[in-house]
Amino acid sequence: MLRETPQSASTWVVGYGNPHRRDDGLGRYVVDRLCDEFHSTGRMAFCSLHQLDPVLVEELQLAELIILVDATVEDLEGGVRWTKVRPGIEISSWATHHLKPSTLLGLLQAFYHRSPPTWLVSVQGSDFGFGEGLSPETKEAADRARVEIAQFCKKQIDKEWSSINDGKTIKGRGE
Amino acid sequence: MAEPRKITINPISRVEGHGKVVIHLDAKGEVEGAQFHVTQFRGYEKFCEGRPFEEMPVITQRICGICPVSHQLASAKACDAILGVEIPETAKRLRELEHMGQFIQSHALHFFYLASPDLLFGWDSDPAKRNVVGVIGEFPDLAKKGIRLRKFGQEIIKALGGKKVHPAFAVPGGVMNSLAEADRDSLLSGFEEAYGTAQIGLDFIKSWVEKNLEEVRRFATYPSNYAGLMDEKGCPNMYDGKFRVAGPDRKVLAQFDPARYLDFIGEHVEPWSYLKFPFFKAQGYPEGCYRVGPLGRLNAAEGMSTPRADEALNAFRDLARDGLEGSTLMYHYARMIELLNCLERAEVLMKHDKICGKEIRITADPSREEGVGVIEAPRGTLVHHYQVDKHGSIRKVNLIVATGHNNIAMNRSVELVAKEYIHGGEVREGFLNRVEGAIRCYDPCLSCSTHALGQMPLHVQIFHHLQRPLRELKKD
Repeated sequence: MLRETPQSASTWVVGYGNPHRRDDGLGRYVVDRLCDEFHSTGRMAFCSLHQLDPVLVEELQLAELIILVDATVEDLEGGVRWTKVRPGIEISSWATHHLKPSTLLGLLQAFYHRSPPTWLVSVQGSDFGFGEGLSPETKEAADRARVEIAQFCKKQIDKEWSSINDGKTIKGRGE
Repeated sequence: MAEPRKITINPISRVEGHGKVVIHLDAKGEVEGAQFHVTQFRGYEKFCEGRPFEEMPVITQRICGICPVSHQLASAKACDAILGVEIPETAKRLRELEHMGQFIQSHALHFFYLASPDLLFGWDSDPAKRNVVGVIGEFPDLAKKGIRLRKFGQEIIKALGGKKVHPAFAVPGGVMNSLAEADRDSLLSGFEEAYGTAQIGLDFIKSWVEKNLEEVRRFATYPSNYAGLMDEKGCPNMYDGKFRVAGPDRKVLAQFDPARYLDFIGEHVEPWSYLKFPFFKAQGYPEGCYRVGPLGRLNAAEGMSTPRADEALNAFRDLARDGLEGSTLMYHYARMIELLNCLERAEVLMKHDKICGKEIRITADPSREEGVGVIEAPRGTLVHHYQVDKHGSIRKVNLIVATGHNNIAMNRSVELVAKEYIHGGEVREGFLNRVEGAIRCYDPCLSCSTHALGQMPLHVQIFHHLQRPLRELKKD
């Protein structure tokens, strides 16, 4: 579900997972709260999805920065990890309706010759059973991730505004 | 005869679900028979028992992530019948519009993602290249157009149901939301590009068939019956109509209210498959084999309901009249004609002056203890049949999905490929690719048909006449 209009957005935050498998839905939890915080800026787009789908490439074709938020079963120090995503399409990661982050970025490069900085924010989950709502420890980690992403995005917005004030055009936006 | 040996071939094929093929050879090593097994089970028919019937459109659309709209609509139609209501005209148009979105996204997905690698690179090309990633690498513009067309179909679904997959839209008695004028206008602006891409697909497959006539003529070609829902003019109608069964010569054998399907369609069970074998009762099992889906609908039809698709059907008929009506590969061609038809129909529906109307639902209490909802899903006819108790709790469910209708036909196609490629117990190179290709023409959704989920690792076992395993081919 697209939470903000993409036309003027340069930064995309995409949270994905299954909210009916408890902690697997944390990406959507994070994005929903970030959307409430940033909705008035107009420079950011928020997207909650069940899984990464090839058609998402169409939405992201003009993105300058992409942040993906997903749950992981891995043990992470502090419960949150940022990983830079490199583009690469592997047949083993391709399915008709879900993709790995690297494949999503690989499609963006293949179709639109673009490879914007992309981060995967992994948040440790512990309960992936049937049910809704995050486990208490995962909710804490998800809130930490939300704060980190919010700070990161604010810096990005400040950078864009100073570019505009300096009279520089933001690449790809036609402004 | 050589000693039994086992060969494993990996990787994966491009259909939904899990399947296995078993080939039986006679004493001379010639193919005696082939069985296409579906080895998964999910049991929707059983666990829906006891649920309130109103929940069925929500529950059953979860059978599939590719065609949830079709299940939702067939289910809603069955529930309408239990309520005993005729839904408002606007609701009917909106349901059909949602269904057109479903067809557009599903046919685009199949043609551009799943089928195009075989057509663009050839059956015997390197499997590492003969896949969607290969298409993206060598034909990025075509792949991009395919993705954009699929997105267009999904946007139609989203505009109505709020989500591209598993939308909340059709309910017993109508639909939940009306179409916003802004969404309609936005969608209307996308048709020009969508027609362009559909035409590229159509031109491509027509040209491919013309260039590969010998292969098309030989490949799993056999006479069968054809079936699908038709409107009063004998054109395929994906949302509603009479169910028609036509013979190999396209003459109508039966046409009836689909709620009476049990009078005409039997369901045979084989112990080796979770998928049932529907057949045309008048001819018995297995002679009553019929094919549904794009080829079934077009071969059973008098024409198409929209001008561009009708023109394309005429060209198809010109090419097919020389014995190609029964060619399994013609499914791909028929699918592209339907894609064009669904785009045209979606545009007509969106331009209807009442499409944004607000009269979209009738509420009522259940008045009947039985309801049948039949619809044409992208892969073929979909039947939802429910029986309820006086409180509206489900007592019995019968689902017949497209892949089930095509079960006898898929088995026959596999057998024909096997007969061409296996002689004297020896398997010619390229056999497995072609078995997969034959199955893929039907765009089977084994997830739907057994109500299972996943990709399809294909497993082929070849048995000696004394039931000794002779050879095994596998794609995980």
